[in-house]
Amino acid sequence: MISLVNAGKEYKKNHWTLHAVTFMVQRGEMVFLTGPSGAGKTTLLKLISFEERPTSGEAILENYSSRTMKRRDLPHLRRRIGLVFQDFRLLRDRSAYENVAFVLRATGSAKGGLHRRVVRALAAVGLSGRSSALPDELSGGEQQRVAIARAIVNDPFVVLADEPTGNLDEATKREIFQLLRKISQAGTAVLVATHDVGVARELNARTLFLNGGKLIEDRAAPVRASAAVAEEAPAVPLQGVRA
Amino acid sequence: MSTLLFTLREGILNLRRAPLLSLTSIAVMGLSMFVLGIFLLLTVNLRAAIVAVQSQVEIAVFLREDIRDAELKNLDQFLREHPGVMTARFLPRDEALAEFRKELKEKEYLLEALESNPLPDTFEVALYDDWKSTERISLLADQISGMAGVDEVKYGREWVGRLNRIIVAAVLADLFLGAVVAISSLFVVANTVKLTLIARKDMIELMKMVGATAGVIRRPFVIEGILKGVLASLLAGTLLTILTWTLAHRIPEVKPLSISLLFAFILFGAILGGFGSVASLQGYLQRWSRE
Repeated sequence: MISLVNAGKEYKKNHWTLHAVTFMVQRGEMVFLTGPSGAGKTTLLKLISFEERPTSGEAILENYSSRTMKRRDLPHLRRRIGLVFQDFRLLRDRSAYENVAFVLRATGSAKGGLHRRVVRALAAVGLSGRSSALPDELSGGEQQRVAIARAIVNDPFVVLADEPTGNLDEATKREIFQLLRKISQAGTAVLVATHDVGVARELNARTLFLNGGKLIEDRAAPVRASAAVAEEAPAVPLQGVRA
Repeated sequence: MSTLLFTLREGILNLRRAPLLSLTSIAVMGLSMFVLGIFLLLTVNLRAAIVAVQSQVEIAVFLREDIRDAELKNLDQFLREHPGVMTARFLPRDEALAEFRKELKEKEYLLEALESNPLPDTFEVALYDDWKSTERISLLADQISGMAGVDEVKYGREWVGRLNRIIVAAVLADLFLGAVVAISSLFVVANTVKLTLIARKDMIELMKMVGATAGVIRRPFVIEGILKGVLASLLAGTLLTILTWTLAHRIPEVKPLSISLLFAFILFGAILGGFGSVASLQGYLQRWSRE
């Protein structure tokens, strides 16, 4: 379970990037964060990944709270969060396999067999045959798939994707969103920050609209398309910030 | 794979991943270590010079002609048992004259005018280094002067004082220069390592992102720093050996660095490389822990 409770972020004095945002996301749910540039999407993802702490309110991930969590617990929390970025952030001098394996090696999380887990993660994103390729030998879509494999190899309870299709063409964009959809259906919460409102509608996913640092709408997924998810996700009171 | 194996592997691979950057930083660190080594060589030779000059400091105890056997025995026992006395050689007057004659060589004829031997019986007293300070040598000389049968004690009071002052000044200058060179080397090494860190910023960020602990992030860079430090000090050690060898051909008195000092030098390089990495990484990791 992921929730923000009246979470606000003030970077400069009297300059709030986020204002008292409240919402909750369940396991297995796919949620789109959308809004214009500067709306606060990236800041919101940073609060959820604990890369930043809220200036006011609270961020909660499973048993971790931004109010009570100790710094030494941060690495342990981050092992349960998969991050995907617009620019992929792959190590250019390592193969797809090595980029994915890097996570397990750096965190000492190779229980259950490093090789088996890396191969499974690459298979899950459809890159079994490209494991030895270097990032520069892969297309943009393939690079993003490697980044997604890296994000899921440690079995996270949430995947946070910040504009994951910003550098990709339309067809590849759809493939990536379908892939993220599959990941959420397997039980991992997926939050995607994107400008692309149309995709959220196409995928019948819940969408949070941000503008000027405020959550102006929390549009639930249509019941017909994702009944199971909608049942799990209760309506979140927006405490007066809904437009 | 344990994180320890991961860090070892990453540390070694880091050297190979950017060979040009690695070679440049090893060369810069090596030259910096070479400057430190030259200073070390100067220190070793300064120390050898000080020991050589100090070894010439000794006390000459001239005895009275009418000294009694008991007084001579007493003085001999005092000198042999004194903790500051390394050797006390009794030189009978006849032997002293014979030695003097040898020293004069062809001017020996000067002694022909002498009707009798003017030289007294003498004790030549060599001291341990820690008894060669102005205060201690003067104290010992006064003690000996007060003993029965002693006519005069000579050790070059002014000369010893001046020598000790020169030694203190030389050692202080040496320490000051050493500190300056060591601090400069540390800065050069830390900045060289920082270049490596900037080149690997993406990897550090990625490690933070996926939940590697600060220790796991730090260790590959410390291992890389240590390896670079060892290679740099080996390079500096080789240059120093060539320099010493070349100098020794022109000035035979030049002393080379001992094997144990060369080992200590390499160990120091390793520590410097590792410490440089830790110091440079601190900024990154502190920024991280503030998040």
